[in-house]
Amino acid sequence: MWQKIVGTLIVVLVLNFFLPRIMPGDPFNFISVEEGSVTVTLTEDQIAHYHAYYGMDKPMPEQFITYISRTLSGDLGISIYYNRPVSEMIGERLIWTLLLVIAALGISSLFGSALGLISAYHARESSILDDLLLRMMTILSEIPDFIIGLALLIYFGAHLKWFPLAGATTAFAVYDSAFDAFLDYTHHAALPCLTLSLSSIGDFYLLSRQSAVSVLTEPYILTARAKGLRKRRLIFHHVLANAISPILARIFMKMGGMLSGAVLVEVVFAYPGIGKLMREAVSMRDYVLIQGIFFYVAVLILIFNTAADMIFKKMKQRGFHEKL
Amino acid sequence: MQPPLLTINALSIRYHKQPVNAVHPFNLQVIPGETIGIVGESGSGKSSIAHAIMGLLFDKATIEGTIAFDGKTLTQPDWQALRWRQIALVFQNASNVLNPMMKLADQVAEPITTHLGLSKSSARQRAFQLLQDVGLDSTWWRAYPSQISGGMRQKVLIAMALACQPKLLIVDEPTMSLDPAAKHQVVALIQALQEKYHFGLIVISHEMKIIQHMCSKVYVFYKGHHLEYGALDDVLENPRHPYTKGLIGASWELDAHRDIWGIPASIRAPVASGCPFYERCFQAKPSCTQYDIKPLTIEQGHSVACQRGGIATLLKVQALQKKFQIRHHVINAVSNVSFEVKEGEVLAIIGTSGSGKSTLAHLIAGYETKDAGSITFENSPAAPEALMRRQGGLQLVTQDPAAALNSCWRIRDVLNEPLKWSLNMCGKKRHRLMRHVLHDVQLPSNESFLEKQVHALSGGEKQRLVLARALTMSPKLFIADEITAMLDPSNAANIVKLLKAMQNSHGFSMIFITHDLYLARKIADTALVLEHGKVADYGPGPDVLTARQDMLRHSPSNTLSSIS
Ligand SMILES: Nc1ncnc2c1ncn2[C@@H]1O[C@H](COP(=O)(O)OP(=O)(O)OP(=O)(O)O)[C@@H](O)[C@H]1O
Ligand code: SF4
Ligand SMILES: [Mg+2]
Repeated sequence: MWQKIVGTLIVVLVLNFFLPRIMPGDPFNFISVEEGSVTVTLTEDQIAHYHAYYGMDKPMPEQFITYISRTLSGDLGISIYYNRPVSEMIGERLIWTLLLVIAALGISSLFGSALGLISAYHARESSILDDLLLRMMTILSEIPDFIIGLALLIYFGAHLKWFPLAGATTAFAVYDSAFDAFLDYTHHAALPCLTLSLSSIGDFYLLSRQSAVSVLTEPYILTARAKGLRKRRLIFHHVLANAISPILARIFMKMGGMLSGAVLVEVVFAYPGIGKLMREAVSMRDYVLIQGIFFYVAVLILIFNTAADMIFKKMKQRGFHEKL
Repeated sequence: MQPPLLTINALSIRYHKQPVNAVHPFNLQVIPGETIGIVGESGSGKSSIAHAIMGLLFDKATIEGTIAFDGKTLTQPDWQALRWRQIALVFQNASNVLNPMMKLADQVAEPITTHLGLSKSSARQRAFQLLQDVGLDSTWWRAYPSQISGGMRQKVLIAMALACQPKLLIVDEPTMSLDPAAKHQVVALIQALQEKYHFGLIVISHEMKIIQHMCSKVYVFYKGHHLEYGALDDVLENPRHPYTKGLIGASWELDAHRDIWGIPASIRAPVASGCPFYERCFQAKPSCTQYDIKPLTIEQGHSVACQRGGIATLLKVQALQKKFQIRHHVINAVSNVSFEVKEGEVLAIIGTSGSGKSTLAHLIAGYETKDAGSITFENSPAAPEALMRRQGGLQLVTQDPAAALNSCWRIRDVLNEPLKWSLNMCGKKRHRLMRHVLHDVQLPSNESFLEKQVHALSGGEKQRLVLARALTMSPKLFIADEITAMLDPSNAANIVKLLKAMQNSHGFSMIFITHDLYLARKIADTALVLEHGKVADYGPGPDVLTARQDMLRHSPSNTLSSIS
């Protein structure tokens, strides 16, 4: 397992170094044609100076070695465009994204699995409830998240004006209490979080429904029913206990996907998370920043997947028969 | 009589989206403290019955008929109060029958908290006690199901079923896939527990041996049909349905000396209606396809669902006499001999040389005329001549194949002969039959073999040819008179095995005449010992043959010792 992790890390580092350099364009041309009215033009000399400053005049292998050794020592460099330490910038933004992702994961996995369980419980008698839920969730899981986001933004934000259109906090707000701050954060995060939740609730629903349906046909469920147990005990101790493992594993595997989903959603809602930062970095060809973000995200995904793997292993030890 | 604990009336089960019933209407009764057995091959609906009694099938099957417990006819909501509290089930042992995510003791304790309202910790204590009672080592109490063996799982299933001290316990295949020692242990365990808790018990098994050990009454099921009911001893000693007899014959545990012969998968083409066992029955008649099978009534005692009223008597011999006079000596070759041969039965007639065995055979086959007595075949006076010449009659094969065959005939002619003069069968059909019987006796059936002359065959081959000739007549009764006497041991063993195999798959009855007790023991259902023309012993094979151990000293050869 550790070999796999180290291997992945090396691949990430290598890709991370070369990918931005393969992209067309030069970051310093972007500094020179700043959007807006103020035009800062850099002379050839100045560009050369910057190149030297960021070590980009050095040969590739040398750049690579510098990059690796710095990254491993935790120094992700200074942003070319913003001229600030990359780690610091990412740290600021990552909080917001993680907030979104974790809240959305919590909501979608909880509600998705609950609905899946209910659906599965009724699936045997070909019920309308199950049929309806299944259709709805299947459609929902097919809609791209930024479209869900736009729809929510237009309806609840622009039309009903229930939620702010952009940002993570009210600008220049001074909070009387921590609770007030919390309310403000929640208010801002609501729509992006809902978007992310809706976009993955279908996934959790389908997974938990399938898992529960197959658990419900297991002999031990008949045993449990024969024992005359109460419905709650039956559902939680016998159905859920056996159906939950793939769902748990999926939560961690989903984190990675959700991070990339967050990128688009954050753009839609102008939410100051890592996704928005990424967009800014890409449009400015800010290699250093891009690399930093990539590195962070890759490491995060690696951690989550490893956690998912470990859960699967644990389940196997318990004799959980993998059906998925 | 005590009021019954469980009464099932005309219960039938049809799973949703299935074309036929899994279980057809049947009646069943359990009296408190009594043990009844349900026996039947795999797929006969035993587990379905168990699940129906537990009220577990409402969402997947249509149930008709009634189930009454403790005098009350149950409706669907009633089961909630009964399940596990009053009626518990030891599920058929399978890998996923226990929840893989829950510790064993917790699974045993669970119904105790639910039904008896005990606290978690006292329920757990009780679960430990139960697990101890069933003999599960305490190291396993907190294990997960995947960590224990099948035998241990069986014990847990039993402990779990007893958690709330039910009045009725159903055990489904309690010994399946256990080794003999563990089987014995489980049976003893259930019996000991019954002694302790006095529950009514329904034992479901496909092993007659288990039923024999545990039950006082037995219900025989086949393809969801209830075919026979009776007290255990009645059914075992005197099975009335051909299927029951087959089940007993297939249980080697019941008689260690006998070879086992399973029920043939098919004797004739199946039919859509009538008796469910028609396809495999050794005594089917055309009328059986019209048989309208009705649920058996329990009050009647030993009863059977068969158009012919159970296994029929094929041959009945009463007070048969034959004297030979040699000058002034009168020899009572056969005196006052009575016996009968049932359909599908193998009767061994055992006697020393000169005891009258062959004379008896000749009298039945009409080679000799009787002085007195009667012989009836299928309930009408037998005309041996006619019986030998018709299909479905009787055939006699003797010890000397050479004497029975004309040595310059071709094999084709030998086989053609009975067909030609007894039936008007077209050439093509005859040819097919010929190949068929040759195949049955394991002789080649190609053209060059058919053209061979009889004298070119070895002794063993000749005996097979004689058997084949007899088979062309599809006899209902086959008399084999010392057919192995002139063969070497290995050939003899093969011929006997072959004959018994044919008997089993064609379903004819057989009188097997021999002086060899070992041989008789291997294949006989019933045995008759002849001494000086008189019946010295007559009864079920194992009884007679065990009683006559003394004859072993006289029997010269042990012909079967060479069977590989
Ligand atoms: N849930 C089900 N849906 C449809 N058919 C079923 C179902 N369960 C059992 N059957 C059918 O009902 C018949 C009887 O099955 P059952 O399990 O009761 O037999 P059994 O006598 O217990 O067999 P075994 O000795 O193998 O346990 C079989 O033909 C089986 O295929
Ligand atoms: S004799 Fe007929 S009715 Fe009786 S078991 Fe055989 S086929 Fe069925
Ligand atoms: Mg079964």
